Amino acid sequence: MSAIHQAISNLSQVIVGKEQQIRLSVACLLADGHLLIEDLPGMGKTTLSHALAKVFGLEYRRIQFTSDLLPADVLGVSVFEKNLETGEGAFRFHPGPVFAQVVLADEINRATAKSQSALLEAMEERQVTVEGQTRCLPDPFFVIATQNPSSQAGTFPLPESQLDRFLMCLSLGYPDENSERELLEGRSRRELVDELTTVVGSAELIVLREQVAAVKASASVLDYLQRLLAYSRHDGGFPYGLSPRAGLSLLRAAKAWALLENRDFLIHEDVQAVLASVVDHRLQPLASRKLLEYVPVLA
Amino acid sequence: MMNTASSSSAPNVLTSVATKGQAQVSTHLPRQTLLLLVGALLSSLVLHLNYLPVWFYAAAVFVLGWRALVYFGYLSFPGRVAKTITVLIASYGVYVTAGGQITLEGSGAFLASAGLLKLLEIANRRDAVFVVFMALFLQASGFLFDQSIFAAAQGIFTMLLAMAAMISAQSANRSGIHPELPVFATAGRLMLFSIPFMLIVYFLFPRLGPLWSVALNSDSSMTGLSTRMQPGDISSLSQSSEVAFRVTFDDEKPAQRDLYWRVMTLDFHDGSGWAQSKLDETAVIMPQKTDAHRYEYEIIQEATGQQFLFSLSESVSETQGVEFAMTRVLYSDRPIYERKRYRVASIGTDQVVSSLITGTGITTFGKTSSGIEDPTVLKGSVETDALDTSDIGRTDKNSSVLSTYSKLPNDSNAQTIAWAKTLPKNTAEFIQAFTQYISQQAFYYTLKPPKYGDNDIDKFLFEGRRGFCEHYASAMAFAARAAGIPSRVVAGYQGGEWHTEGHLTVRQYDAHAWVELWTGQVWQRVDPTAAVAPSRIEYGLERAVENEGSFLSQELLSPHRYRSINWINNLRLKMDNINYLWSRWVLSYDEKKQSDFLSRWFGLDDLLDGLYILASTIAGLFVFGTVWQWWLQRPAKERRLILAWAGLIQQAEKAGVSVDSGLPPLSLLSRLAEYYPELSDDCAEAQRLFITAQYGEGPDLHADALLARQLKGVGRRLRGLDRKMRRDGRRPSTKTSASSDV
Repeated sequence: MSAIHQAISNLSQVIVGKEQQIRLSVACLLADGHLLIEDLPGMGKTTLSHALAKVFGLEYRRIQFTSDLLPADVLGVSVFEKNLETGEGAFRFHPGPVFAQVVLADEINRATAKSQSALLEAMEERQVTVEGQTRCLPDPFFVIATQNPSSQAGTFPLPESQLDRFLMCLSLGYPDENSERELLEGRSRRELVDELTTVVGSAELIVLREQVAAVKASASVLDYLQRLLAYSRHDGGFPYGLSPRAGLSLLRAAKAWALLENRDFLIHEDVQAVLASVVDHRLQPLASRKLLEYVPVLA
Repeated sequence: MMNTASSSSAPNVLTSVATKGQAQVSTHLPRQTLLLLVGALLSSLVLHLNYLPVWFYAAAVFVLGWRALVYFGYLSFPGRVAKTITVLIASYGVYVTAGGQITLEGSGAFLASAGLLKLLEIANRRDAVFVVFMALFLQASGFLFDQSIFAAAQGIFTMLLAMAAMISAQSANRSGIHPELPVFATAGRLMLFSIPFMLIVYFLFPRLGPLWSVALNSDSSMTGLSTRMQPGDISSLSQSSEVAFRVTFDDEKPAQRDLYWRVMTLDFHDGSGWAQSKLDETAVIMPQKTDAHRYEYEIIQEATGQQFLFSLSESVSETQGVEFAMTRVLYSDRPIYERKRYRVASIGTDQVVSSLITGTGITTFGKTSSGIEDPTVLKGSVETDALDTSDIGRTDKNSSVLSTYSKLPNDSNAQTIAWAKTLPKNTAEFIQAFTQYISQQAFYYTLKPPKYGDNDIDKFLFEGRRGFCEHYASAMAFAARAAGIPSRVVAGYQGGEWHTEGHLTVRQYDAHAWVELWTGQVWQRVDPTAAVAPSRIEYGLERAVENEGSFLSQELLSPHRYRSINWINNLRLKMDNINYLWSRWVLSYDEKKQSDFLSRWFGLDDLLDGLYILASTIAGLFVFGTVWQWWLQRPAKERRLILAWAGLIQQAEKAGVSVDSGLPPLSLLSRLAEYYPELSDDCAEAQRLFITAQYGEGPDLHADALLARQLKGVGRRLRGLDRKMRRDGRRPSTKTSASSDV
């Protein structure tokens, strides 16, 4: 357990003053979900993802999404290779950057829908089908996508169906005054990331994920969760309600949060803690505030 | 999704038609409600129908037509001017109808018009409620006219409609009424629930006499005899098949021909008709009941608005409020505005003893304490006819009273007087001579006699020779006086219809008039009608006027007209019997029966006790209802925790703890402990319980209960702390919560 907290504190040294976001991203990792970080350029999105991979000892690849990125650039491609010795030639599959444990899809909304969906399919299915052959992705498989706010020029905003596949959406935001000073005085983040050591191995991560799944959710908490879902669907006035997948995601994220809190059972606070990051990108900005305000905790 | 659903039911809503220059009033009464309201109002008018003026029907058609056009959207609601005009017209109509006086019919017409006109402006829920009350009030006032079991059934129907309309109106919302709401079933269920209450009120509510009385427009609207008889009075009465009274004999029943129901004696001929002097109202002490009384029976009579009662000859009654007049008829001590029930014992012979002879204090014309009536005299007079003849001249006063029965107007019917002087002076012989004349000459018994005008007896006896019982009785009494025999006309009823169940129904068409002649000892009953139409006495009016076909000629639909058709007659008799049972067992539950009932079942002798019972029963019902409601709505076990929780939140807010909405329980408890460190132990305990109860495996009701108790306890201590702090003038500084973390 303490390994996790050690990981969090290590991360906090790199990403200064953002403990809440760090905890959420770790929770997202523990909940076996993908993470979307939405923020302006230069806020530390890449650093966070990189640091996460390092701390959890995961293999890390980065794809810079651009408007001319093709699905093959993400998934990989078969190339005809000729054995110079034997003279025989054959197509050989060169796996794309998606075949990694942590994939950073940088500026995902700069790519066209075609390339976006190539990645998004891989995220959901955890396998890739190229040229009629299905290839499994490594486990754990964790996609951290970053995107600029869609109001910025040259973006292809992710449709709702694809947003739904990200367990959480975080926004780092500007650092506060002290953190900023620490940032300015300290060493380069790049170095710090490089210095990070693995605290939780990928094997341990899988054990932790099992522990997350074992966290008990009482009827009372599930009732609350269902009330949240029902409110989003019927009363909230949102264009679309939360999908069943969103409900499952919320539960999983809350359980991961509970684990971070050293508990093996869910309490209402867990749900509320992850609510904003799980729900807002699926409904609309600040939807979680409405849910928190109008959905009774006990009823 | 919700929006489309509600808009699909929007056509149900009565959309208001915008009226020019008027603010658009939103009208949200569904059409169903409107139809129910109209139905309830029309149904409530049913009992009034016979008493409403003719113009009302025209107005009703007009208003309903208008309303229908509004309903279908061809017309708008009437504007203020139109409404004012219609109200003025209706008010004028009512004023004219009532003849400028406050009468029952006038008030009924006024109410009915008001209800009818209200239909023109039913727009919103308030109007609907108003119309419902109006309908109920109209229905209740309709019972002034009719109290039969059919009226009761009709009243229940109106109530059902009114309550359905009320439910419909109250449950209507912006998008119309809930389509699956069973308004009739709900109304019916409510009415079923009210049955116990109805029974309690029926049995226990004090039977108060009328506090005031309002006259009906005309006497004819309450059919029955009046204290003056002019030719044509009784024959017009004979057009009505309304029930006058019903009789149940204890055991022995008199023969049909002996059923002479004496009501009043008419002793004064004023030239055109017979009237009653004060003698009928002169009370004397009622004789004791003796062995001679052969017939004992109970009468239930309809309201007459008069004081007279019905009885066979030589009757006594022990029912309270029944008085005994000098002319030996029974009368009530107050006018009868509601159904009355009394017991009578009668001898029922064709002779009536004169109080003149045996009583004293007659001429004082008031209730006399000295009016001694020796029961043995009465007994003897009837059985042996051996009255001491010397009594007749006993006092001058007596003979002066007797002379009232001999007075004749000087200036009329000279021919009859002259003829009568040729008749024998002996009573028996006079009777024979007179009936002989009638049966030998070509006299006819008819319901349609010609109008004789002045000197009607002359014209009847010597020219027309066509008449109804009143003509014969009038002529005979007149002739007897002319011949020197004291006489009087008796108005009443003859006969009646026997039911297989044993009771007798006497209807208005059984009204009859006959004569009593003074024999020197007793009053001898003579019925000249029997001489010309014996079947009238033996079989009733219908048989007597069979050939003429004039029986109930104005009541075409009356089942009495079709008595020859077997099934109609059976049906009629059945319904009549039902009505009899209804009036006997339900309507005639009066003050006396109530006190009997109370003393028999509850051992109460006092009405006041009954009132206490009534009040406490009602109070008990309310308490029971409240408790029951509470029991039904009491929070389920699972809910108690939530209530305790909500209570604690309220308490915390009062105590100055900022509680954001959606603050989870453990966080709230932590925050409470933060604000009030005194509570930290309690809060920790509550948190512990909360984790066990709410976050453990499966539902744990026991833990829930413990938790609820703990939460309540925290709330109480919190309140105590808060009060204490307020008293001490300090409050915890309002800290902002650190975090929602536990």
